[in-house]
Parts: sequence; structure tokens; C-alpha cells
Amino acid sequence: MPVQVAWDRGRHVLRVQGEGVDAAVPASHLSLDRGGWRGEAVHLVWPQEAGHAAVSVDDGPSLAALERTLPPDLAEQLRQHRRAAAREHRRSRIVLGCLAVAVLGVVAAVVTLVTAPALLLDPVVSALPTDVDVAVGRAVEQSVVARDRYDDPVVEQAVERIGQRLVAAAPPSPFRFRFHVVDDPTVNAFAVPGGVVVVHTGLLRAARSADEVAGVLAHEIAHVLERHSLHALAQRLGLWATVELVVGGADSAAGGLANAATTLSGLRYGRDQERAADRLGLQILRAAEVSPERMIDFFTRMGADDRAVPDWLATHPDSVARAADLRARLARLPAAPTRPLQVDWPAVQRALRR
Amino acid sequence: MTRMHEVDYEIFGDDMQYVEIELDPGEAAVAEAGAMMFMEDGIEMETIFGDGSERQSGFLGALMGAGKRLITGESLFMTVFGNRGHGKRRVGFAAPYPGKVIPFDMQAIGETLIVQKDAFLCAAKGVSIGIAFQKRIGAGLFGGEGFIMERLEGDGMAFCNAGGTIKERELQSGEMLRVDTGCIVGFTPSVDYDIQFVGGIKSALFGGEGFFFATLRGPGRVWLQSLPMSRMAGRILAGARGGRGEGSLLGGLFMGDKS
Repeated sequence: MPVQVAWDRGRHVLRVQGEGVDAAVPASHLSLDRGGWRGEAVHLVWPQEAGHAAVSVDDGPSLAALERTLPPDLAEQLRQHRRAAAREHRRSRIVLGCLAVAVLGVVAAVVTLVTAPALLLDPVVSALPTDVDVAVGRAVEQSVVARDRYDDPVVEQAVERIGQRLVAAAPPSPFRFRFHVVDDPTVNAFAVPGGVVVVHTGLLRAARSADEVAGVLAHEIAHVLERHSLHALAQRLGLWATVELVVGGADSAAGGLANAATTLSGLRYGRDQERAADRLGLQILRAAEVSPERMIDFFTRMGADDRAVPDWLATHPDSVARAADLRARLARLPAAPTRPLQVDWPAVQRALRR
Repeated sequence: MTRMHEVDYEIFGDDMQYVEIELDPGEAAVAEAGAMMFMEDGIEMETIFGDGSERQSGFLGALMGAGKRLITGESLFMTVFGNRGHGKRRVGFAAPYPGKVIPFDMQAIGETLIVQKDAFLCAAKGVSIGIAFQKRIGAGLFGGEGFIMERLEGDGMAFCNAGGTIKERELQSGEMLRVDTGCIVGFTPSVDYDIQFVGGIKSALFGGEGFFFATLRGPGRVWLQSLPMSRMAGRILAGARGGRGEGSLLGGLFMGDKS
């Protein structure tokens, strides 16, 4: 250090030497002050002919040495200043630590958003009120279903009757279920948030009985009840569109929703979601007293013939495995009564071929 | 025994200064990458990873030094300009913006100096350029210098650049200056650097100085600049975007020369 500061006990003065200074300052002239660019230094100040002179000490060992050797009242002042500095140091550490944690938290959220958006997105979507589901469903209904509707009362009523029987037996929900038939040769049916289930004519043609259709509808109803489509849609559209949904309502997001129907029809749910929908669908069938065997048959048949029904497989992978899973599950359950569906399936098939 | 090379220098220019360092054979100066303006025959340039002071030993030391410097806004590498010739030779250094070069006789000011980010221009080899971390939250957030400043240590000559005109002031113990944030170039570490609320909502909102002053309290020496580069850059940008031309609002309609 360029300047030496030491307390001379014999002569009761502070010796300051260095940088062209050689002073002996009596205790009565000395005053202490805290400062330094980080508040960690203690200034020893004494008056001179013009103004004051000061020595700034900021390293711990020197301050400790001074505290030991200075006369009691000065030493006490020094102690106070050092304690104040330590307090400030601790406080700033805490605040900076909190700031760092906050920044890290934001970074972690952003990283999660980019890499695994489901983690953050799912709770947000789950918190959305069911009005959002209903609004989305209505928007999709208006934009697409009305356009491609398969206009045959026999077919439509059949599907409606099957559907509503299942809905009556399903767990209660705020949704008003509607079933629509769309003129499309691909074998597919999909769920829209809010209670809209769309069935393609292709699927109806591939089904051998009303029970098979019931199985598919029960599965889709399950998706609606669990709000899987909303989660899947939110993930596909991304966080911003979902936020727009929340803030502006589905009407404002209608532009993006024009794609929604296409998205939803091709939507591939996660494996867990599919299993969950399978199980709930089975429950609904049993509660509606419809035989679940046919649903399992349908799945098995579709899964086995991958060349004929590529669309089905695209949206319902693992059909065979899931059919097996359902069969095993069914075997463990007690037998349930069944009532036949009041649908003239041959008539429906005839209407479809018109 | 001093570790520094003792260099002679000359500063040229008025408002857009540059400095010429005169090196004896064997002496060297260390500078920010890109600061060199010219060098005479005999001066050799070498890029190093540290700052050339012996404070950091070994590769890890150099790495730490370089890492800390990147945070302060200097580049990872420093260039050393050594005189390998015979006789005195000169090398010139200049800053990339208009302003002054401030010479610091480190030995005379207590061997340590805290300066704003990016202020360092060049120094005698042996001066160490490191990081000075501001731990006062208020000062860090609102003081105008951020949380990271540069710390220069050594007992040789060091040179910093600043914008505008420089004010140097020696503060007595307890004497305080309230400074416009951003106008601080540097200070000796005994100076208390903090912030103070402007006081009065009207002044804060409409006074044009923002919500906080930076305060510098002595004892110690402080260097202030009249025109921080960022402020000038902001004005130039605003002028380029607005393009209102000289004179009144209507001037653009009737005067030609819309260049």
C-alpha cells in the first residue's frame, strides 16, 4: 500500500506516511467516516490548513489492525462503521441473490417453453374455462362442418341417436354435444373442443354395425370430456394463439381457427391421452349398455389393414396394441348388460351408398 | 521495484484526441484490440490472451482475466506493442469516438482506478485491467454505469478515452457532487459512488435528468465527461430518423436539398 497508517500509542497520534505525506494526527483531530465506492472503506479525516486530509482504508486486515490499536472511542467508531459495511454487504448479497434467482427463473421458463412447452402449457390450458372449448367448437362448426356436411337425414339421425345415447350415460359436463357427419371418404372421426364430434362418411362405410360406430363415438366423447383436443390444439397452435384464445375469445382467433379443423382432423394425441380416452370410452359404452366388443373389433380390423386406411393409422397409431389392451381390461371387468342400439344399420349403409 | 514499463507520451488533438506513446527499446504498451492508429518501424505487435501484467500467472489466470474483461466490454484479447528496435519508437492509439484521452499516472493516484466499461484505451505493460463489480443495487441499476466497471491497477501510465470534455476534480472528505448518470468516467476507489433520488415527481418526470442522480462523495479524485458517447449516438439516431431538416416544421416543405 502506498500509504502507511499506524497508531502510535506512545505519542497518542496517528502516523500517516507515504505519497509525500508525513503526518502525526492527534486523536482529538481525527474523525472517522464510512465511504469508498462500495461502502467498504473507512476514511480517517483530519483538518489541514486548507480543508481536510483523508486516508482511505478498505482492506480487512488493515482495518482489523487499526481497530485493535486505536484508542477506545475511535476504535468503537471504527467498529460501528465496519458493522454497517458488513450489513450493507449482506443486504446487497441477498437482493442480488434474489435477482439472480428471478432471472434464472425467467430463463428456465423460456427454456421450458421452447423445449417442452407441454409442461407450462398444460396447466394454463387446464385453467381455461370451458367457455373457451365451447367457443372453439362453435367456430369450427361454423367454418368447416357447415360447408362439408353430409346432407342425409337417415345418416345424420342415426349418428345423432347413437351419440346422444352415449352422452346420456357419460359423466356430466358443461358441454352440449353435437354430432356431425362430413362427406369425406377417409376413415376418420375427430373431436372438437366444446362437444362437437365429427364423423367422416368413410368411417361410417367401413363400420359393420352401429355398435362399432358407437365405440368410435364413445372414444371421441371421452376426448372432449377430458379436453384433450384443447390441449393438443394449444400445443399445435403454440402458446401465443392459446393466449389469444384466453384474452380475446375464440371469435378473435377465428382466423387461426380456420386451420383448426384441418389440424383437429389430423390431430395425433399423446399415447397417454389415447389410453385415457380408450378407458373412458369403454366406461361410457358400458354405462350406455352398448357392447364394447364391437369397438375392439373395429380397432383390430383397422389396425390390421394399414394399406387401406392410412388416415386412420396416422391419427390412431397402435390400434392393435390398444385393442389388445382394451380386451384385457374388458376381461377383468364383470359382464355388463347390453341393449341393442335402435339404429337400422343396413338402412344407413344403403343411404351412404346413394 | 516497479513492474511497469515507464513510458513517455504525447496527446494530440483538441476534441478528437489520440495519444502517442514513446517506448524505449524493450518497453511495451498494452492496448485494447483495434485501438492502434499507427506504429513506427521496430514496434512489434503481439496479441495476448491476458493483459500482460504478472498478476495473472499461467493459462488459467490469463483465461480468468480474459473472461472478466469480456464482461467489461473490452475484447478477450489484448495487443501488446513492444519496441524490438534500437532507439525510441512511437506507437499511436485512438478511440473510436470523438473525445479526449485522459492520462493517468497510476502511481500518483494511488495505483487503483475504477473506470466505466470500455473506457480503457492503452497502458504501459504491467497495468492490469480487471473487473470491478458494483454491489450496491441502486447504483448498479440506476447509476448509469451498470453493475460492471473496469478496475485498473498498477503504478505505470494508463490512458482512457471519454466523450466530450473532461472535468477532473479532487473531492474533500465528505464533499459530494451530484452527477448526471452516464457522465462519470472514473474515480479512485475511496470515492463513495451511489445514487440519489432527484426529488419531486415533477422534476423526475419532466426535468430531463431521469429519476436518479449519481452521487460521488469524497475523499478522492473523480473524472467526468461532458458527452457520453451513448447520448450523442442517441441524438444522431433521432436526427437521422426524424429528418425534419433545419428550421421550422414547415422548412421541409419549402427548402430543397432533402439529402
